[in-house]
Amino acid sequence: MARIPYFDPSNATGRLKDAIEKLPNLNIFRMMGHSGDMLAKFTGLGNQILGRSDLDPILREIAIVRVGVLSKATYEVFQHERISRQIGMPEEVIQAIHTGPEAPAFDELQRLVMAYTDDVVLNVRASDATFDPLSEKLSYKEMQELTLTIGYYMMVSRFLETFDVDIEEEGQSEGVNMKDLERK
Amino acid sequence: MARVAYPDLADLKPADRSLMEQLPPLNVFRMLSGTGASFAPFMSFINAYLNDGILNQDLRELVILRVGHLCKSAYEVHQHERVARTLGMSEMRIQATKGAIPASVYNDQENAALLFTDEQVANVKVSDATFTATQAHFSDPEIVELTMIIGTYLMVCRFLETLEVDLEENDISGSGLAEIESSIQTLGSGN
Repeated sequence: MARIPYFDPSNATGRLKDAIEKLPNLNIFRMMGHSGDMLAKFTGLGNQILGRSDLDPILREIAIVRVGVLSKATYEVFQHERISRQIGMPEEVIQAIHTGPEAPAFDELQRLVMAYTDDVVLNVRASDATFDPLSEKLSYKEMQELTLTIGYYMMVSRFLETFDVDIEEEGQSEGVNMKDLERK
Repeated sequence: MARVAYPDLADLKPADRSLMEQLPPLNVFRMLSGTGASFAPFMSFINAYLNDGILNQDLRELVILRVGHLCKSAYEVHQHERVARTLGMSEMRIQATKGAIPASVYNDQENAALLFTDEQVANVKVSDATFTATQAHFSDPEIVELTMIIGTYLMVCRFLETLEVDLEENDISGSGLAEIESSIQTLGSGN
């Protein structure tokens, strides 16, 4: 159970009220309502990362789920496995994210993204050994996006775990719909 | 030297170029402009706690410096030491963010926030004991903001260190916070 009560949306006014009305009824956003206008700014950045990046969506979700696995953030893994399935990631790849970069289900590029994510999360600065081979295959913009994405989900994982945000009850929300994000 | 090239100002979308021209001339923002669609929302997000946050500014900067030291990010520490000095923080209080916590130069509330920071950076989830101790000094919305700030600088430090963003040859004058705020006000309502 969450460590502090969720924000009561009936107390929201102005920009916070607008933001809550546009978001899916997910407990992470209910908890973040306490931050007032920051909720809209936080999700504004998240929506761009998810909906408007050049980075291939499958690679992006591999990195995000891996951050969740490394952070032991159950909620984050749950929500992004859902998104991974939505965008057609094979089940064996989803499972492989829990195993590690060497899992046979990954293709070469996916394996490089896994190794890079591990390095950035654990060591802050990725070593040449993980940075160089990946930067030969991705554009500068994709490298920048991927690095920002890894950091963003480290923040999300800490938020979720520190407040013990609960996975939604059956029927509360279908989660983030990628088609909605891409249309915006 | 940075591991990837800084984007050329001329290649940015007009709105992003205009934002760049108004922001303090820092390499971190130049590099962030390379993320395209995420750039303006990123700036808008950091402005929300840098200029419109509910936490005390000294406390915010102490926490940011602590994250910078824990991540060994020289660039991050350099920039936020400058911000802290501009806010009038004493050198002793700035330098103590490198050392053992609790520290006698900080009050109980500051020490509680820094212990919370250490644990959140290291363990993701802070323990019940630390969470409860933090609640003795901060409201729930303040702990939410504190958590988001710690997470943001884990992100920022990774971006800086992994892309090897270079320190500027000359420091900007002042904190740069007012320029960030005024540049955000010129963005469209979507940000």
